[in-house]
Amino acid sequence: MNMKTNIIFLLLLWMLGSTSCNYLDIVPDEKATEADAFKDAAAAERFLYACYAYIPDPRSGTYSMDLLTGDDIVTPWEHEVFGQFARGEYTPSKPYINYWNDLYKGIRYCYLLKENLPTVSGLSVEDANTYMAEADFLIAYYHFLIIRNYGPAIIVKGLADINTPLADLSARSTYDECVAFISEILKDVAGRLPMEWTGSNYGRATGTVAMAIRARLLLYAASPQFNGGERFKSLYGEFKNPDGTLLINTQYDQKKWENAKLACKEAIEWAERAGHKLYEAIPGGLPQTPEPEDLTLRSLRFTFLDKDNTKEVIWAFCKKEDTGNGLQVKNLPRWASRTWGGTAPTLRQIERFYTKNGLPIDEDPEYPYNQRYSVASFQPNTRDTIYGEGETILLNTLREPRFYAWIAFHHGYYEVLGEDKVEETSAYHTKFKRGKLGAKLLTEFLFNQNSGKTERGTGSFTGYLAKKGAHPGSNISSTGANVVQYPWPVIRLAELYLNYAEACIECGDLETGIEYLDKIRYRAGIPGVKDAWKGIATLTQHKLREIVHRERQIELFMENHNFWDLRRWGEAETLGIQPKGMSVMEKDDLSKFGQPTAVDVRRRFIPAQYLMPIPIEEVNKNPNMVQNPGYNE
Amino acid sequence: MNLKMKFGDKNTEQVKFLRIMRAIVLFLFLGIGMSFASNSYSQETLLSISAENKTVKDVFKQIESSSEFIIFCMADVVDLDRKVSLNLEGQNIETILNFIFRDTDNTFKIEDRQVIITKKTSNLQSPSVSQQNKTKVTGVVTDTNGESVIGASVVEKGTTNGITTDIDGRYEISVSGKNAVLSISYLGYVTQDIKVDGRRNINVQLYEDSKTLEEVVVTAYGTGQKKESLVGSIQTVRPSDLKVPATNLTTAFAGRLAGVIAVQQTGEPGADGANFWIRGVSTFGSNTSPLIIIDGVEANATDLNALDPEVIEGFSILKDATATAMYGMRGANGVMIVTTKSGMAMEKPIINFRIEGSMNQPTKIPEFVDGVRFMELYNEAIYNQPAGKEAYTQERIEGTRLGLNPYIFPNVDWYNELFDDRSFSETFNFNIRGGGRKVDYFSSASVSHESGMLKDRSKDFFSYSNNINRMRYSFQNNINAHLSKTSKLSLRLNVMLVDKRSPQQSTGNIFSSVMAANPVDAPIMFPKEAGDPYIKWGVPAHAEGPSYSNPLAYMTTGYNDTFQSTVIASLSYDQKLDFITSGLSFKAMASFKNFSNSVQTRTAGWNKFLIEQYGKNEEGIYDYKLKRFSDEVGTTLSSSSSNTGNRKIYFQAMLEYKRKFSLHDVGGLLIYNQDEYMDNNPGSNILVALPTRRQGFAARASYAYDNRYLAEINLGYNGSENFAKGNRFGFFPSVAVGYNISEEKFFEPLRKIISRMKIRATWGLVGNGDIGGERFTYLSNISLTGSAAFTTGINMDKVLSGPNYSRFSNNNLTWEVGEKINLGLDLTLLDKLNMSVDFFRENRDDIFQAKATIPNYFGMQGTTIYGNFGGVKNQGVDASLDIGHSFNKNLEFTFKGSFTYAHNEITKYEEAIGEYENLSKIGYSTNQAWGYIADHLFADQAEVDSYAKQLIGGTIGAGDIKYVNVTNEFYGKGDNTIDSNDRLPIGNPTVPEIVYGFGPSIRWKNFDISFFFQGVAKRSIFMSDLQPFGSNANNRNVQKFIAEDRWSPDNQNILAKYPRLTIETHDNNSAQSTYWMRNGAFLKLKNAEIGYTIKSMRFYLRGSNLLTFSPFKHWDPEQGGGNGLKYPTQRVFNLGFQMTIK
Repeated sequence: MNMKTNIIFLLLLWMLGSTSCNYLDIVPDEKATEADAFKDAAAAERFLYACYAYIPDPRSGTYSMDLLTGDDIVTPWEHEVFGQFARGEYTPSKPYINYWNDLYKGIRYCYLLKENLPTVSGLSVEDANTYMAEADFLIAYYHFLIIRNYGPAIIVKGLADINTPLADLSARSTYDECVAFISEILKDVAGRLPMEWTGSNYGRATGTVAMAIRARLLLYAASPQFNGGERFKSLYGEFKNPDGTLLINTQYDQKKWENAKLACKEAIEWAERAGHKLYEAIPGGLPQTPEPEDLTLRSLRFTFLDKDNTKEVIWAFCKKEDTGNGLQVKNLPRWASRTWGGTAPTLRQIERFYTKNGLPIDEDPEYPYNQRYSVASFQPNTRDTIYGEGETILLNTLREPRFYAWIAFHHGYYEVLGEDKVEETSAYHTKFKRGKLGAKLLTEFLFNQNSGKTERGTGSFTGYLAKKGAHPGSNISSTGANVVQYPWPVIRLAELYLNYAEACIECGDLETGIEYLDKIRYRAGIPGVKDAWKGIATLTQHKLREIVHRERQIELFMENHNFWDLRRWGEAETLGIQPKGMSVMEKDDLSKFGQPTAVDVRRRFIPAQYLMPIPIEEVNKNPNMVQNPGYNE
Repeated sequence: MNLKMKFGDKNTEQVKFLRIMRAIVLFLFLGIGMSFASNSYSQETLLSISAENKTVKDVFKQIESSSEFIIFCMADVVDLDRKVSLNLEGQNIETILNFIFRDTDNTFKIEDRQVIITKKTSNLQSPSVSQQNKTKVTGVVTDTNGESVIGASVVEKGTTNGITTDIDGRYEISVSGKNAVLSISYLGYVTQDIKVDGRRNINVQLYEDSKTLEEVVVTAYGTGQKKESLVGSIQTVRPSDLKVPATNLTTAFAGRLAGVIAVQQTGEPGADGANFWIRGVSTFGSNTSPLIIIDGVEANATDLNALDPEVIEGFSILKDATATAMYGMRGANGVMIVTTKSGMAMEKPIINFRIEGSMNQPTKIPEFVDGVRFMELYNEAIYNQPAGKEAYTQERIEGTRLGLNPYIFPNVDWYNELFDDRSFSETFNFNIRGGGRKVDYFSSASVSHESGMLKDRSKDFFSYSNNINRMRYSFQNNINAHLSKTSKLSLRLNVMLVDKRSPQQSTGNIFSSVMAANPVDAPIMFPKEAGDPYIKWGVPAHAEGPSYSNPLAYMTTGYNDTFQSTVIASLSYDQKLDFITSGLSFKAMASFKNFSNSVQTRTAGWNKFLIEQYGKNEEGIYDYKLKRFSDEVGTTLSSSSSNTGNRKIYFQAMLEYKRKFSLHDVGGLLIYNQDEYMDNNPGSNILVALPTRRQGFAARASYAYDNRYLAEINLGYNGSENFAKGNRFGFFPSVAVGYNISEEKFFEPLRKIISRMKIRATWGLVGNGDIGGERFTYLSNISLTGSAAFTTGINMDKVLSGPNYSRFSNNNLTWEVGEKINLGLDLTLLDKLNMSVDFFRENRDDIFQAKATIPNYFGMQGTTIYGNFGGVKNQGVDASLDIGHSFNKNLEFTFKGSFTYAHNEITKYEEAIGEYENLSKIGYSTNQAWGYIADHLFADQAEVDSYAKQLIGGTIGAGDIKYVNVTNEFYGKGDNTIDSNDRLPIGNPTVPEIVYGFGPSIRWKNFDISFFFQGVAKRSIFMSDLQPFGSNANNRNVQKFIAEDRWSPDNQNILAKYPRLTIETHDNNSAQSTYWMRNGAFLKLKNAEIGYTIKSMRFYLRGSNLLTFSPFKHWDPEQGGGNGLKYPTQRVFNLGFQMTIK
């Protein structure tokens, strides 16, 4: 009996012993906290990078809203996310790509950094000031991206309180207020940012970047979409907050162009002071890629590809390109499961390029415009031979160097390296190798030919391929697409010149406009504006507006601009028009191939889509928030 | 009428073995202790009995309550209502009984603690019958197991002539003549009347009558309570009632357990358990599953499914607050308690074995179109929606139709290439149950083998087979050591091993690969040529995109070998503390569970080929040129492995008090418990590496007066480490009252019809502390390098990322609380029909939810802030019914039925719906689906243009689904667009609200036959992911019903079953809407069984999922929505043999 009692007492003791009150205290104190995110200089630098990390990737082959979605390109990959933008199928319920959340997230990171920077130990004052300036720049830049996407934005001026009552949630500010807010920060921050970043810091914001973004901001703000364009008077006339504030001013204001012109001028000065200049290839210079051999073509093709030598790029996005579905592998001629050869310029873009005389194809008297779809031949032993060989469509002859630098066409060349251990129909086969060291390929675009459309539904849908952005030094082999990586230009000097030219022309300063247009044209190997149009047209403001728009669509083709430019000019309805190309189903007859046909893709554009839809949930969450016009009617 | 009386209940003390097995089996089942100590008990035990003009019955009760004696007698042998007066101090039982029966014709026999009262032999003879006419009849009364039945009464019908059987089950009776009829009865058995017919020896076998057994119900923490005194809502079932293929218990729950909602969604071996919820779903929080306790140890559904039904003694489903409050913050979703069998003291062990073989067939599989039809439909889709795709040429279509060349014009039926229409499984179980006075044991071993319905194609190509092949070995060993008269040590050990071969790809992916491939784009393989080192698998030309381009290669190249082991060991110690005060006992239990899982994955590369060119050669015969697609890859198997596992340690100590003071039954229970769960391979996440702990106290007090008025209070007080200090412990009380109205005197006249009637009412609070699935949600969560990364550098080489804020802290987080109310009625009619009905309501509050109203312009997308925001009201009724009737010893009939209805409604929800009330979840079920209201299909472009803009996705054309502009029609918002704000709650919840089951069983002589029907109602399912062709360039397959009735330019039927075909996914048409909503109700012939029993052997043939009646025809509606492409539920035929050896 005693023994039992003992057992029981022992058990009871054990039970009590294990009941110690800290049985449930198991979370160690050494957990990561917000303080750790700012504990030293290295942590602060990581935080800074996190601030930058919400900048959308501008050359993602699958997820760029504005790269392959303009009226200039069609691809076989419109089932990918970006395709919804080409087709105009994005809606508030299904925005597909929704930068709203990410961009505001970036803004919050910037404010967090600003708030906590003073607590970081071991960070030099100099660095702290730079970080502070970069955070400010990013706040402005993110707001700029928001207004470019969505128009009038909610301006965020600090860290939000999560307990904000529903009624106190912010309403959208007017477009002009947003512009003023962003412009002020950018102007202020330019002087606080470094003049340049080199080496491993290349790609961070500089003073020039701030000024250049400001120039772009004001250019957009002065453009018809936000400056009383006729197209927009009815669309935005009733675009109001619940309190009645009109969000986009529909009255034209010349002052906006003046501001833009000034900002562009300042940006150019900043850029030139920082040593930026248009890229021109040097004979025998780097990179040691043999093709294209012609210096003009080389200057154009390598404008931003020659990363170590180009001074033209003002701001670059440095994330490495995806080698499976990125832009280069989508551009480069087909090598099964390595490269896809599918970014096909539309006939509209093909015809946009000038003739060799620097004139639109329908204005150049030397250009046989009416026969442009007939079969023609490149003349051997002339300058023609650097552009192509044998029979092609007349449209592909007598064009400006940018056409030949950036476009591959039937019996033209595509500069790229590649092995030849492939089947006969592949562009990389020995029989298609041309040029120095066989470093350019002869491209053929009839059905099932080496770059043509195939039975699989891949290949070029228009009979053309874009070469722009594809590095001629990229080496394709059975082991993979060894693409040469280079930072993608977000801003380059040519854009600043074109921005300035446009603003000057809109302000009536036609001479300066022409001066800056000519800088671009001379580098492109075509005559200046006045020379080209001499005796053909009078260079009125109206004419020059047309010229500067066209120049921009040629020069900045496939650089994330077309999508936005069409909108701000009020010309985005062209995005809803069925694009055309060659008759790519034609197997043998080149003359039949040359007949323009509608490309088998879907296109739609509704006026609401001049602005991106705000995710429907965000409108539902915030009683003070209104949807963009057209999505609710 | 014979009645075997038992006058009170007893706690087991110490069991002395006697050759009276029957009684022990019975009494153990009753949960009533019997004491067969040394014969000296009756001599040594001295009793003091005083009674003034009390009935004999009352005196017996008094003796039983103050000693360990149990008194047996027949009502018509002993006049129990005779009044006696006695006042005896310190006398032994014999003296007392002699006093009581001194002037009667009764005599008694004392066997240790058992007292059997009979008539004196001399008085047994009927005076009216002359000695000469007497016939002596002898015999043995046994039960179905052949055990002798002691104390059974054998009476000549219509007389008072009777006797009880002795300890060998023998009887000897003189009857009045050849035509006399013997009536043999025993408590818990069906009474039998047998004509003597001049026989001298009549052996009688009695059959159990389970309904009249006074069941003991296992309640919280494994303590037992008599069903009669139960007030909580508890449903019990024995595994023999479930009748399922031995490999899966949970599939049998639906319709058999009142209050359990269960649906089986897949038939994949090893993963085919049903999802089940006790009384439906009461929360939209992450944890809706009931707590499962196996032998006192918390387990999961997998462990439950792995238990062999043979080893299970019984299930208890604890449904209301009284039943579960003691589990505190684990009890809100209900508790399922499973107990395994124990050994017992007996001379010879009972050996039982069972062998069963099954054949499984898929219930219903989706059907696809053939190659020719596929191409025609594809071309039609291109016509409908231009998307840069080439049509199939007439040459290809004709070539396929004529079967010209299987490589150039393939026409592959992938489903049949991959899957068999049957599979087989076998189970063998062996168990032994026995023991002696000191130690008893139950030991079971079972082996089951299951194979999958994947065709064994890998053997055609490779050395290995990769069809699902699963061996399960399960061992259960329960040992009780009776250390002394008052103490017992029990060890329960369950070991389960699973050895499984399966394809390297999940079956889910393999099934969907059939949808992702089509019949015409590639042959399975190209002919092997001499010297080919590997198989030339065919892939479609568009293989550049999709992940499965050859389903067969996808399925066959590689396999997984999985080995799992689960060990559950529990050691418990029972101590009676009668020396402190009578009725007090102590029990402590410690248990350990370890689960480990190791997977060896072997994968091989496969080489892809496609036709580069084809055409007719000079002889006009088709010829082709083959081309490799992508690089040559090695076909040797590469290997990788992974290990996962977890362990759990549990401790519990309990003090129990149970005593009866005359008419007052008093009980008390005090429990302490704690448990700890650890991940065995936590990896680098510190929060995962920390143990999960719980700690708690629970108490119960119960009182019953004369078995008529019952009251009970339960308390749970427990805590979880998952909450902030100060918010860790919760208090969960419950109260219950019950009224056995049929025990009342005034009820006596009704008792012939209403044999028993009880009313119960309970109220209580229970908790659900398992919230969010995440741990320590009250803490903020920052990962220092978890943000998106940014790259700088001219060489693009500096990549840094900063902190990611995935959660903000909220120290006020706490568990969900459920307030449960239950009203119950138990009814027995005519002693044959048992019925139980419970009405329940639960208000679940403080449901854990992420804050949903923070606008994203705050910049906090992806950062969650949790709070206890939600509320759900759940109410319904569950009922069970059983009827049993024995027409004679050859024919018995039983019928069982159950019905459960549970309807829940969200009462509080953190939501951001703006002005769109139609989007509010409040007032709707947690499983309610939202969708568009489909009107019909657009007839033409003019109708599209004139109608509101449908901004759901895609460009709208004729033949697309037209939706109702809800915001306009119903709410008059005046908008002209249809977007996600135009959705309404549509249909019934996706989890059924009504589950029912019913079925008869009939035994005729040695045959038994049973049927069980099971059904669900008030449930909607949604078809989805059916889109043929599809966006990812993978030319998905087409289901037959689409081909049969769709909108097309030739069939502009605006009421077609499928909208216009499109090449790419058309979000407008695939959005969840009433167009894709189907009635998910069904009624199944879930089981049918026929068995033949001879001696101790039984043969049976059983079928499961035999017939399905449902408005939904495409696949088994129980599988739920989707496109039907998953491992189908199976129709199973089992042939079994069972044998018991004693």
